[in-house]
Amino acid sequence: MTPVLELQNLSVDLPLGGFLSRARLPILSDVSLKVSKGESVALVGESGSGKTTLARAVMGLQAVCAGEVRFDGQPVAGKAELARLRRDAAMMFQDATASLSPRLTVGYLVTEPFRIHRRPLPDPDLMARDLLATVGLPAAIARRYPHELSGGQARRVGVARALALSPRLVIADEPTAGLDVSVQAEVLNLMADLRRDMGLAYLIITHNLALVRHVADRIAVLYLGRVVEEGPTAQVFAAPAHPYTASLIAAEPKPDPRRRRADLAIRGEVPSILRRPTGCEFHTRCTFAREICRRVAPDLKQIVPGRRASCHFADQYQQQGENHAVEN
Amino acid sequence: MSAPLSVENLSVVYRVAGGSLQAVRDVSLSVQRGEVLGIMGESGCGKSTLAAAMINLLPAGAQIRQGAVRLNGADLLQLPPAAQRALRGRSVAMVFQDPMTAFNPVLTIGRQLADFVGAHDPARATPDRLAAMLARVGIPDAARCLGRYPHELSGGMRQRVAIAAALLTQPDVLIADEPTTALDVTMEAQIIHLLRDLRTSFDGAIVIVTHHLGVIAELCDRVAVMYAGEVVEEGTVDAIFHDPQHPYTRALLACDPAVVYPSSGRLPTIAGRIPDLTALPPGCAFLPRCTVALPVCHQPPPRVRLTEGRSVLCHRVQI
Repeated sequence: MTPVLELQNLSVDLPLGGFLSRARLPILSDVSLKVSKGESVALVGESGSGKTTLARAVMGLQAVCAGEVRFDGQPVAGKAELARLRRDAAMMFQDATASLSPRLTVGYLVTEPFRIHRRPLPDPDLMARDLLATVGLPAAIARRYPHELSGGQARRVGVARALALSPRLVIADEPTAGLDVSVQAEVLNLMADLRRDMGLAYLIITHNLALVRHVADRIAVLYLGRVVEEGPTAQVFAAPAHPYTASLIAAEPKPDPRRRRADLAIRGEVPSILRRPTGCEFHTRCTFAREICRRVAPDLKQIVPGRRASCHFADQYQQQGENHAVEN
Repeated sequence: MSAPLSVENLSVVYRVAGGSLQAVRDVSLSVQRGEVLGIMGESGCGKSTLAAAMINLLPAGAQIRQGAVRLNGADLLQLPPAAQRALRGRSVAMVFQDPMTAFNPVLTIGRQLADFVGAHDPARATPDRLAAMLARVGIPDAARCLGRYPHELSGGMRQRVAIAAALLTQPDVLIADEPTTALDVTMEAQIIHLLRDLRTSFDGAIVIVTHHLGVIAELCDRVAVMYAGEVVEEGTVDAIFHDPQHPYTRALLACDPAVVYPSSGRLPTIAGRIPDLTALPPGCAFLPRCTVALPVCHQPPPRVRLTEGRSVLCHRVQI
């Protein structure tokens, strides 16, 4: 079956300042990723790992310098394909309140996609009511303005707007950032319901691992603009194959005072993309790094069917993880 | 020995159109030397207002209705402004949520740190002492960092510098309002470790205000759970996370996706919204959302003291 979204060896460079300089800075390198119908894929990584750039590249908001984006098997190359992509794939923005025009009512905002894409809209009020009902908001909210909404309500309006043209793919950039835990749970439940009822596929961009574990079927971990590990969420969490993934999972604060971490999961900071480390780019922070890691960059290779990792010692490391998981 | 910081029956209101919004309602708390107190709650529960009241830096429009904030026994709220300023920094210091805006962008880190400490004790503002403090909070190459500008540092490094700035005057109380919220998970873990290490070497009290249950569990000794301006439950971190008594604490812990593991099906939620703080009913503020409410819950709930330092504001709880 053709995946809904497929990224093939996608690379994005940005010009590196300087009036006459031709130097370019690689932001994303050789990223390949598939999202199948009804599947939920999470893209995780620290700030500056290129997560948001990737989402922008998919939506055609960022020029791609190598590789391609395929939507429904068709390469997204010209204006016509891009228009189709933007109709059939919707974006949920990180800052929900800021993504809504302050001068338009909620009712107008949720039906705006019809106007933008010149789709028939016989009864805007009825449509607005339906869309708001889908995301669990009362019809009366259609007359309100964005500043009158709470954070959770604004997020729901963002979802309603994304759903207006019945997309098949939703790209959600930090869908629960800034929400309280109880509201976060509501938004996650809503996303799960929509996926079940409408067969939506999700590409979720986040650094919140608790959320990933809850909503994603597969996970891809980005480090300095490269995928370092990819695989089914449950397997990756049980036995990560890349030390970076393991550190991210270990760094997450556990809401249980009896399981406090005594040691530090990961030292140091993400290196600057202006001075990428040689060899494996994670070796500067990796506790397992050996001589080869400083010299030779590992390839992203399959370790078991459906799982890829770019670590020289992925096989050994992942086995250790499995043994460790059994011990616990 | 008296507590370095205690809050007694504090109530804070905000003036709003058509009345007053009760942000903090009759809160009493204290924190001991060497202890980390966590104040936990969702947006709008009054936790940041409480933190601001602890150093009497409330925003315009806020008004203290009753109560006292005692720093080493003296009521901060009754002191003249100059005396309050002398205590801020020296006796109590604060670390804010956003390390991006906590510094002046046009002055070097060293100049700003020297300003903070020099205002209280110019003799301590030597580059050696400043660099030593930066090294203590884990800044590599601390001497060179003094010559840098805030934009040259990452978010995690800036938060470390903010903590160093707060500790320079050796305060008795350090208050941190959402200290890790603006950081990545790896930086968050590092700041948690730093604060935990500091607790053993720094002989003061630490107050952490956050909505992040994981940060509370990793870092705090004692926890106060706030809802609608009140402390609804207080106890040791282990009691709060493993034996929560108030229905709100239970519901809040249940709906954290980090707790629900393995992920299957739906997350529990708390139905309804926080009450309107301008028109609170006389009974329990959590009543409309509570799944175990009784008719008696329309009456003001009692503060049930289970053990020393463990209390719950609920009709359902019996000793």
